Amino acid sequence: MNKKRRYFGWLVPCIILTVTVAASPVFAQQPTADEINAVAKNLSCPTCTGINVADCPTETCAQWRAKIGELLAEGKSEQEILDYFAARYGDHVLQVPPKRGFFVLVWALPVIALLFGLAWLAYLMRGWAIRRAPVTVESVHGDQAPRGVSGQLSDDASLEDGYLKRVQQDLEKLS
Amino acid sequence: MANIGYVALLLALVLALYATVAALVGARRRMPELVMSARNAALTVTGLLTLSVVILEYLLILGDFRTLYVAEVSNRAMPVFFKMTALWGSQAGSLLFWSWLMSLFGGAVLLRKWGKMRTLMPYVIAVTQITLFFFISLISGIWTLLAVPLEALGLTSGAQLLADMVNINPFHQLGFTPADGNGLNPLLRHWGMIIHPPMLYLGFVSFVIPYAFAIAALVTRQTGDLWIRATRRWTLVAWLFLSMGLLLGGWWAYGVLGWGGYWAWDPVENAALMPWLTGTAFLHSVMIQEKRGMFKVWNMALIIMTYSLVIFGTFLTRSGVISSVHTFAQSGIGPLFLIFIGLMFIYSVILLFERLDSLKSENELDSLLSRESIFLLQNLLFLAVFFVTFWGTIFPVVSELVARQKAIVGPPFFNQVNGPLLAALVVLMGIAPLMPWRRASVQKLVRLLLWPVVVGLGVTAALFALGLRNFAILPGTQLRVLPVSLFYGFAAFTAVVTLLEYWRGTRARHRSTGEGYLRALWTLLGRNRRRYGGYLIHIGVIMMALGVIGTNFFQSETQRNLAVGESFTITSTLTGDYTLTYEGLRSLPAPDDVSRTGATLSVSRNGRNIGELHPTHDFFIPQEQPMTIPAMRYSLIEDLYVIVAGWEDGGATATFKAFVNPLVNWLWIGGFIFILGTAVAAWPDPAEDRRLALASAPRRTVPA
Repeated sequence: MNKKRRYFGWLVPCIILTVTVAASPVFAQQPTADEINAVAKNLSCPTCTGINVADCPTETCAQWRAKIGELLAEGKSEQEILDYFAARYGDHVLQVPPKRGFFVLVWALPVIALLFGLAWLAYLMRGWAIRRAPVTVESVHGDQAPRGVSGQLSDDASLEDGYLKRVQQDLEKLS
Repeated sequence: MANIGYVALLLALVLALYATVAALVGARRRMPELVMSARNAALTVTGLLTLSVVILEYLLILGDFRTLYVAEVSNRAMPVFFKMTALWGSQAGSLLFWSWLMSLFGGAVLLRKWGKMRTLMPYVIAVTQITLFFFISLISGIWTLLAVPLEALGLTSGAQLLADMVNINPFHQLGFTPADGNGLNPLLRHWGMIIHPPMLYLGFVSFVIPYAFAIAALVTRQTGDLWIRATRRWTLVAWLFLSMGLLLGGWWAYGVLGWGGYWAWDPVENAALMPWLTGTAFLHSVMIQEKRGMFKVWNMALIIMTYSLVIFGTFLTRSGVISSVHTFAQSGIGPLFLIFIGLMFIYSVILLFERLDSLKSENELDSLLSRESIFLLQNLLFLAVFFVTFWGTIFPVVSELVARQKAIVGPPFFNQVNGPLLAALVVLMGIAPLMPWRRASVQKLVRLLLWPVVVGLGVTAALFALGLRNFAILPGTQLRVLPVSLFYGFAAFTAVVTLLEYWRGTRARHRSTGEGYLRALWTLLGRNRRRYGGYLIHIGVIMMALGVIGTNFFQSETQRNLAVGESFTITSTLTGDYTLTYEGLRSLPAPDDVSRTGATLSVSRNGRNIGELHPTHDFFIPQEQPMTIPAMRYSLIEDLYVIVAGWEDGGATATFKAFVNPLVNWLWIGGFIFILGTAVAAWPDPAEDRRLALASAPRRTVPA
C-alpha cells in the first residue's frame, strides 16, 4: 500500500517534468538552422502545397525561416511564433489546424467514431452472448469441422483449429 | 494513325455500353444468346483498348507532337524507354492505361470463370463494363457534347468545364505540329516512378473483380461463399499489387524527393492507402465467413467500401480536388467522378439492404474469447485507421465548404492519431493466431501467451535500460508519456507468436514423418499456403514496424551552412557521431536538358574515416525545375542521408541537410518479405482448391 502511494507520488512530478521539458521554449541568442527548422516544420509553405516550410526550397519559405530566426532570437516560444504566422497569414499556414471552433472536429470526430464503433461492437457481442445457446447442427462439411456446429464442442476440441489435423491427413495421403 | 486510335476508343465506348445493357437484359429475360453477345462485346472492348494503347505508344515513340498528349509528356531528347512510360505520365494517358488494365482483368475473368459461374457472369460483365464505359467516356471527349445544351441553360461555368475536357482525349490533335514537346516531369524520370503507377493501377483495377462478383451475388441472391471462393485469389492479387504500389511509392519518395522520409500522408498517398486498409480488413473477415458462415453483410459492406475507395482514390489523384505535391494531373473531370462514385455507392448500398434477408449469419459468436471476436476488433481498428485517414484527407475541403475556413491537415495529425491504432493492430496480429475459432479457455490462452508476453516485456525493459528512452505523444495532447521501447516490445511479442506458429507446425510434421526440420518447414509452407503465407506477411509487417518506429522516434536531423574544409556533426541515436567535411562542389556530366552539380563530403564515424558521399542537385532547364538527389550510406542499423540544399559563390559555401534514419532498411526488407508472403498465399494450390470445393459442395445455392 505504502509502496503504491510512493509510486504515484513520483508519477505526477515525472509527468509534469516531462511536459515542461518538452514544451519549454528553446532560448537562444543566435538560433541555429536546426532550431529554426524545428519550428518551420509546423508551418506549411504558403505558395506551394503539401510541403512544410523547413523542407521547402522556395524563396518565400527562406524568408519565413529568416523571420522565424529573428523571432527566436527575440526569445519568442515556438507557440508564439506559430501564432504570429497564423494571425498574419491565416490558420491554413499551420501544419495542423488549431484546436478551436470548427477545427476541433478534426480531432473530435475520429475519437467519436472510434467510441461509437467500440460501443457498437460491444452491443453486438453482448447480443450474441445473451442469445447464445446450444442450437442446431446444420451440417458438417469435410474437415472444416468447426464451421457449422454451434456451442457443443469441448474446449479441447475447439482449440484444435484444424491445421494440425490437416497436417496429419496430408501425411496419411502420402503414406 | 491517331484517328484509328480515337475510333477504336469510340467503338470501345459504344461496345462497353452495349455489353452492359445486353448482359442485364439477357440475364433478366433469360436469353443466353444475348449474354453471350455481351461477353463477346466485353472481350472486344479489351481488344479495342489494347489497340488504342498500342497506337498511343507508337505515337509516343515516334514523337508525333501534333498529338497534344505526346507533346505534353515527351520530347525529342527523352530516351525511348521514358517515351514508352510516358503513357502514364499525365491525365489522358493514365486514364487510358487504367481503362485498358481494367479491361484486361475483366476479360481474363470472363475467360477463366465463364463455365463455372455462368449465373453470376452477366452481372460481372455489367459491373465491369459500366465502369469501363464511364472511364472511357472521360477521355473520349463525348462530354464536350453536353457543353452546348448546358451553355443554353445558362450554366456557363459547367459548360466551360465540359468543353475543356476535349483536351483529355489522348488522341486530340493540335492544329499545328510543335517543333518539340514539353518533356516528362523530371520527378517522374526514375525507375521507381516508372513501376509505381502501374502497380498501383493494377491494384486499383483488380479490386473490380471481387466487387463485381459481390454485386452479382447480391443481385442473384447467391450470397453463399461462391463469390468469395471465386474471387479469393483475385482479391489477394489486387492486394499484392496495391501493397507493391504503396511500397514502391515510399521507396521512390525516400530516394528522390530528398526530405529524409518515405511517407508524408499526402492526399494522393492516402488515396492509395485507404482501399488498402479496407481491403486488408476484407481479406481477414472473409476468413470468418469461409470458416464459420458469419459476417456476410459485413464482408459485402467491406468490398463495396473498398471498391468505392478505389474509384474515390482515382478521383482524388485525377481531379486535383485536393491539391498536393502530386498535381501532375488536374482537370474538370471531378464533378463527373463524384456523380459516378455517388451513384455506384448508393446503388450498392440499396442493393445490400434489399438483400439483407439472404445474408443471415449461419452461426453466432460463441465467446468473446475467440478468433472471431479478435477479427472483429481488428476490422474495427482497420476501419478506424481508414476513417482517420479519410477524415484528415477531406477535412480541408469540408472546412472550406462548411466553415469557409481554410485549413491544412498535415502529417503530425495522422502520426499522432493513427500511430496508437497501428500499434494496437500489431498487438492483435500477435494475439489472433493463438486464438482458436469459436472459444478459448482462459487457462490455455494464458499458457499460450505466456512466453510471447515475457519476451515482449523483456525486450521493452532491456531497450529502456539500454537507453532507448524516447516517449511518444499521447494523441490529441502534448503529453509525451508512451515509452517507445514498448512499441518494440509489441513487435517482439508478435514476432514470437508468429515464429512459434511456424515452430509448432514444423515440429508436428517432423515428429510424425521424421522429415528434417527444414524440409518439414518447406512442406508445411507448400501445403498450407494461405496460412503460412499469411504468417510470412505478418513477419514482414513486424520488420516494417521496426523501421517505422525507428524513423518516427529516433530520426536525427541537422542543417548547416559550411565553407569548403569545414565540417559538421550529426549524432545518431544508435551508433554515435558522424562528422561530415565539405570538400567541394563541381558540375557533373548530365543529359542535355539537365545541369547537374555534385558536392563531395568526406564522412567519418566516431573519428574513423568511412568514405565519401556525393549528394547532387539537378536542374531541369526546359521545365526550370530543381531536384535534389540525396546521397546515402546504407546499413541495417541506419542510413546516413545527405542532401545539398543550396550553395553560394560557386560553391565556396554550401548548405547541407543530413538525416540519420535508424532501422529504415527494415522497412524495405520487411516490405519484400510481405510481398513474398502475399505471393505464397495467392499462389494456386490445387490441393487447397479441392478442399474448399469439397467443403462447400453441399452448400452451393440454387439461383433464385
